[in-house]
Amino acid sequence: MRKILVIARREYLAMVGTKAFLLTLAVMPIFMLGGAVVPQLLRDQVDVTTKHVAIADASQSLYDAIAQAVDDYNKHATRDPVSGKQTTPEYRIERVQCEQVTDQLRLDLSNRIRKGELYAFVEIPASVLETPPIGQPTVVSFYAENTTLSDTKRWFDRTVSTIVQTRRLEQAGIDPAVVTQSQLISVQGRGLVERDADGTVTPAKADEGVLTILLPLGIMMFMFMVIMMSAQPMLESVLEEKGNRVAEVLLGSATPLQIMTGKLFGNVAGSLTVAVIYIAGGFALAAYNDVTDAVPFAIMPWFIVFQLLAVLMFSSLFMAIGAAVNQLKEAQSLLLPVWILIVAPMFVWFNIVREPNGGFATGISLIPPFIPMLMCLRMSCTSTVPFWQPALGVLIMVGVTSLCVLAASRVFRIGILAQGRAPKLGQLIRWALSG
Amino acid sequence: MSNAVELTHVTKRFGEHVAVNQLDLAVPAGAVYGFIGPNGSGKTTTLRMILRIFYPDEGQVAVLGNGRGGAADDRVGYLPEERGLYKKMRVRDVLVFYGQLKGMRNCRREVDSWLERMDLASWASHRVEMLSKGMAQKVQFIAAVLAKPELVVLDEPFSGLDPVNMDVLKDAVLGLRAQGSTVIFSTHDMDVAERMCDTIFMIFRGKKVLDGTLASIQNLYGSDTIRVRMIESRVALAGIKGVARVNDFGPYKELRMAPGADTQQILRELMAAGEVEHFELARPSLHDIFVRIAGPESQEMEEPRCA
Repeated sequence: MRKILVIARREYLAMVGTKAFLLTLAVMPIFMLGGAVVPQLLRDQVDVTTKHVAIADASQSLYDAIAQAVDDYNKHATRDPVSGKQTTPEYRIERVQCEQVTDQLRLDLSNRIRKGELYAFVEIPASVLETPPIGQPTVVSFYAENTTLSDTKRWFDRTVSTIVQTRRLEQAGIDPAVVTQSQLISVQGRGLVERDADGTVTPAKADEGVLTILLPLGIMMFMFMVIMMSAQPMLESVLEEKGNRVAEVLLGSATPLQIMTGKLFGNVAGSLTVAVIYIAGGFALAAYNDVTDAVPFAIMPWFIVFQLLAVLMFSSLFMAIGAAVNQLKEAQSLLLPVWILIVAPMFVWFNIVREPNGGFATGISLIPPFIPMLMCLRMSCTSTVPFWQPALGVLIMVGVTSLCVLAASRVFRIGILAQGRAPKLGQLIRWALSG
Repeated sequence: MSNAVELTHVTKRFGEHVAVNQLDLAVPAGAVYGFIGPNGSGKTTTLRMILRIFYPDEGQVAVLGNGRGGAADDRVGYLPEERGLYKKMRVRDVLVFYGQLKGMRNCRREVDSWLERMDLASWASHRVEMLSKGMAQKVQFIAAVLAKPELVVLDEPFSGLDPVNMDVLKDAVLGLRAQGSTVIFSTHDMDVAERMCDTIFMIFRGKKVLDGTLASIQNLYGSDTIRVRMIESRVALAGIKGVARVNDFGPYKELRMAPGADTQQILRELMAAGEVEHFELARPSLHDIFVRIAGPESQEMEEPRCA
């Protein structure tokens, strides 16, 4: 045991006592969360160039109303009411005189867009105010170079729809104000009512909106990040020991199982250090933003257990592959299946967040390689995951991780002294099975 | 225990290649035992089998009385051929680590003592990657002997060392013998082997071809060598009757006599060829014996010559 601890201590210090570790500690969250945070930081960086839009109104009845709406929008909705800074572009519209929108007219207007004279043009059919048959809505077309993410298109969609709806209601003798009032209803999402330590029933919290999606995602990404930061150094460490003949000296002092166990212990301790630093940082950030209520403290013990098991499992696999090859590039092809297992939960996270207790979520969160990340994802979405499910997940993971460590130790024992060509996946599996 | 290491009919194959073939070897306890042989002859494979890093395909390996078990043995110290150190660790830390792995507690003082002895004290806090090859070799040596092992296996311990460092390491090896340790080392330096080893073992193409003391090995060949120093270094001696081979070092030359050759006749012909400064009838050097066995013109025996 003492030799295992000596190896574990060296491994731990080699992992956390480097500048590279501190740098990775700082940079990793930026990589992981950059995709979510950067768009938020850049949300004010919008193009406020005035958009010129031509209106080809074959019905001859909507242009004035649209012009009035544009005027109101330009006056009241394009600037921040406090700072006065322009936050959205103004619109300038021009009337296209036509009784019918022909292909030639569409082509001419399209060419003007190509030349940059126009941003877009709107084609309103002559029958726009007629009530269409059920299931066949009237189509108003918005032409531009790219309409999918266009705020301008969305504004015209809303505006023209409102104008047409109002006119149709008036034609039917219905007061549009009554319809508007009749739509004033909202279904608000809330959590569950709880009883606190004093026995008082506390009211359910209102749904935190996007936080209820981002928080579980963040927890899953956090576990992924810790696995990455732990498993990759294992591979590099074993490669270094093999390449530098350190492995031969180690084998003269400790058994392969002692070496591997010591390295795994050191690695797990390193991953715990990473976890503690990030959890403390995350809690401080939550406290700063006054959202500590949203932090699911109840799952923290489960999270730690699942994280340890995941790090043990994946680090042992990385270590076995590191022992089997001679260079990092030789490891790439062997690592691919392992990476797929690590990344796979990312592909299904949204389905699980939508229905955390559904059959799909429950089933896939009990499949061994995915258990740690997906069980924590589910438990951070809802407090109604039955206790037996994470408990079963832990049992399965303990079994599978033990098998992985055993198989990896067999590969490690053979691979650490093997030279020459790197083995193929099939040979690795044979080493693991043959013992 | 009379023998520290015993190999009995040991064979090791790598695929179709037979690296070591039916090898028998007995290393007496407390001896300095030199392994020599050309590159790829099976020296390192034999050393690794002694260390139990490799297991033989056939035969038995007994180390310090133990015929079974794995590589991990705190009674055995090992210096691999080159490297064997964590580059990013500091010199003292890596030595303390290796000492602790061999079961030592509080070995820092011992480490500092060895660093002082090897003239490395000022490098104790430097990273290993900062060391020259010779310094790293000395650190590696300390790692191998720190725990006072009963058996020390050194694979090419003197390669890449300057004469000063070689003397430091040589003294340390002889110091180990004085303390009662058994030392096995491989080398390509025949001069070192001649001067340091109690017993010399040569392996060639996986087979033992020499095993014994230097004197006993030389006795097998008899006094068939003439060492000559000529005043004029460019004198050609190839055609002299009774000389089978000339090993030319410039003014100094080693002549191997053909069987039945007349030394007086050879001396006369040498004097006729040039001015002779030194003439000595001697037993062959280990270098010459090595070349006779492993050189391109090798016509030596397939059977081992063991004294």
